[in-house]
Amino acid sequence: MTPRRLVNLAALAYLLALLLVSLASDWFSTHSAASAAVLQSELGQAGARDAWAWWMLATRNVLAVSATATLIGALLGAAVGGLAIYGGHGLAGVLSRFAGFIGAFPGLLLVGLFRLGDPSHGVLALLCALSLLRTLEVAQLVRGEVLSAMLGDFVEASRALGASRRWQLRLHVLPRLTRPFLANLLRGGSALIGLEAALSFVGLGLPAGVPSWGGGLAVVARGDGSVPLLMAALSIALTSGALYGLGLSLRPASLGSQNGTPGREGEPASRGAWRRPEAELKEKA
Amino acid sequence: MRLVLRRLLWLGPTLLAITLLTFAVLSSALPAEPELADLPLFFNPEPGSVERLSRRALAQVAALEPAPPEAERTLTELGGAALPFVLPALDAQSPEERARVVRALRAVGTRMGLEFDPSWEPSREVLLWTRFWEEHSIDYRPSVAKRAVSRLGQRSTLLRDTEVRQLDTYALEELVAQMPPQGALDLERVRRLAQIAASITGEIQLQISPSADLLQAERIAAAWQDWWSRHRSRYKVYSGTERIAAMLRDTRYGAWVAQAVGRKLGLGHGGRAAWDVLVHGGRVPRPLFFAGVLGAWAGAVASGVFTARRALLFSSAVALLRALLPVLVLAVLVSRWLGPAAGQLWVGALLMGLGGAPLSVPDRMQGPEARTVGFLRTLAALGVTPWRAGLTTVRLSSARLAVQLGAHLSNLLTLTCVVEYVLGLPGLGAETIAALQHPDLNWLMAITVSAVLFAGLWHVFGEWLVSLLDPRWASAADGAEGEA
Repeated sequence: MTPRRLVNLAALAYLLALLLVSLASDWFSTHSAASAAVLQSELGQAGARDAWAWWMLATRNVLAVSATATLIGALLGAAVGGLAIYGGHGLAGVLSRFAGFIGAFPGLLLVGLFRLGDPSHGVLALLCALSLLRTLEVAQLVRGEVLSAMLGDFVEASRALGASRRWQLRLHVLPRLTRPFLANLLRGGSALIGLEAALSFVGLGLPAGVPSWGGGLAVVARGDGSVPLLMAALSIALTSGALYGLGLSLRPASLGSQNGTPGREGEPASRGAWRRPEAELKEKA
Repeated sequence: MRLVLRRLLWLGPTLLAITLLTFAVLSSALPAEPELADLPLFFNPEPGSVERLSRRALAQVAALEPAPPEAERTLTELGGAALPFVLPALDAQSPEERARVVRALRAVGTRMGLEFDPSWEPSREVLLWTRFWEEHSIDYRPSVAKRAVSRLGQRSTLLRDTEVRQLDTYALEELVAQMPPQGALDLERVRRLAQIAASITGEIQLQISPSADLLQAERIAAAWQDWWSRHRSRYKVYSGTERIAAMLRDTRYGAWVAQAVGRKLGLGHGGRAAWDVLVHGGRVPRPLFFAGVLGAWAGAVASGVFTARRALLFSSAVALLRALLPVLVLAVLVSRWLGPAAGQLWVGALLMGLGGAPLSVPDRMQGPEARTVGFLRTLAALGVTPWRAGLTTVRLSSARLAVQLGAHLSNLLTLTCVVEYVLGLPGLGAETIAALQHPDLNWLMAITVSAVLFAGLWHVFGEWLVSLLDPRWASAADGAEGEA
């Protein structure tokens, strides 16, 4: 087993453990919503049991927000990116301008403004802002990847052989899109963990009473409590690193193995794809 | 170059759209200033509401006994500006209605210096107002108001003072327009105009004290102009193109734009002009931001060199290590470890350098990057040593970075704010975070405008830099834009 694979496996195991912890947090932690708030505000003086309970709740909250924002961003981004290609030139222009428009906002300011616009000053604003940031990034990626694949010689050849647009998408475009898409989701998830922690740290992320790694870090940053500080810091660093590392391992074949398909520029997703349009035409006939 | 120009041209509409959006969000979230609460947000379909307001108040006062206090207050506030619509309408009313109206006008008359009999005699007061209008209706014209204010400014006499006082709020536009001091010798004139404007409006804090200097007089004159830009719509009747302009200008957004242009992007909660805070506070984030850019550049160069040496595993390991050390965590640990000593600029710059580096790692090797690999293969085939080939990629890596930083600028700015906040550096980040926690419309608008302008100009700079470093990218981008 290569060191890279070992690191990937360790990252996967860590993320799986986090997922299990968040799923089980309600069963293990007996703290109510009110006491959870107290738990976070008194984290510096917390004992081992309380620190553990806080960490489980914080893990659940952070993963829920990050995963939901990533998922919404992925779905909306894929839809918007696809629409930008098939929805005509006008839509692509609008997407490009809108991405530039939102890209000009510092993330901190964007989340802060959403928070001001949200009457509850809570999770909804954070979720909307993070999802919006992810949506635009994913949309740009999807548009770029699909356009790049559609302009390939093999797609043109496939088109010349009579393949339908759906066929081209299924055989050539989607397989080439999968890896960069997943890599982007993982790296985006890593960025969201960091951003959420930073926002919670400055008091603009999850509401003050809701445990989170960034919120906990803010509580213990200048006070006592080395153990909770290490717990929060390590959670942020390891989760961010694990997601980032998995994202790196999914980079296209052109960076690593030169034999993998799909992935190389100017080549079809699979060798058989050259012959399949003919088969499809025969079926139609 | 075409792309650079296009970016520059898009900067204006982008800035406008972002300020509109931000203003809408902030206005919906924050309570409006009492003076602006009546104004619509972006579009005023009926600017210059004095006629509408005075006729409505007149109808309410005339119709109900006792007269609604709200309507009486409106008539009092509108004062002289409402008289051209109220006094001619007296003839068409019944004696009881007239009595109620003139009773509501008593406060206005007193302010104008008219002498009323202490005992309440409706018919006598109706007669007084009727005569007043017969004699002075001709004075309620812009040219007369301008001349009266100008004469009072030249020299103060009882007659000149009375002329302006009798015009009451009708003279406010001219009073404010002629108020800015022309020099140190002009203080007395400005003081007179400010005093009479204050007595008409009740804004006694906007008077100029006898010991005030030129600077204070200029500040008070500017405050009067602010006041007028916010209240103008209540005292004026617009027509023609002025009315069309007022539809946009006499709004809450218009008031913010006027304040931003005239008062250095507006005043923050602390009473300081936002521009001054930006200039002063910008000393901290500037070096931090450029340290982040430097870190990203170093990362890009290293990535290029490692690509050339085919040390991809090492490059990935370095990128992963940096991801494992988020800047927030590093900053907190450094702050905890160094204590107050962490609040130094070089510590922040070092952290930003480390934090900026991951931004240079590409999502995937594609397009020009792939071409770079081809280019490197050619160099290798020609017998160039890997390190030499690596060095030749510095230029290409820099070009890639210029493009990537445009996309990651938002992250880098956020990073700057967070590092400032954690280390307790007195920069714009802490100010912005405080403004978001305790909303400050003027500061948030100012920082938004600055960030958008900065991001826009950075994009333009990036396009220009790329066209210099690697002309292939510029031609590819031109083609892509054309296709889009």
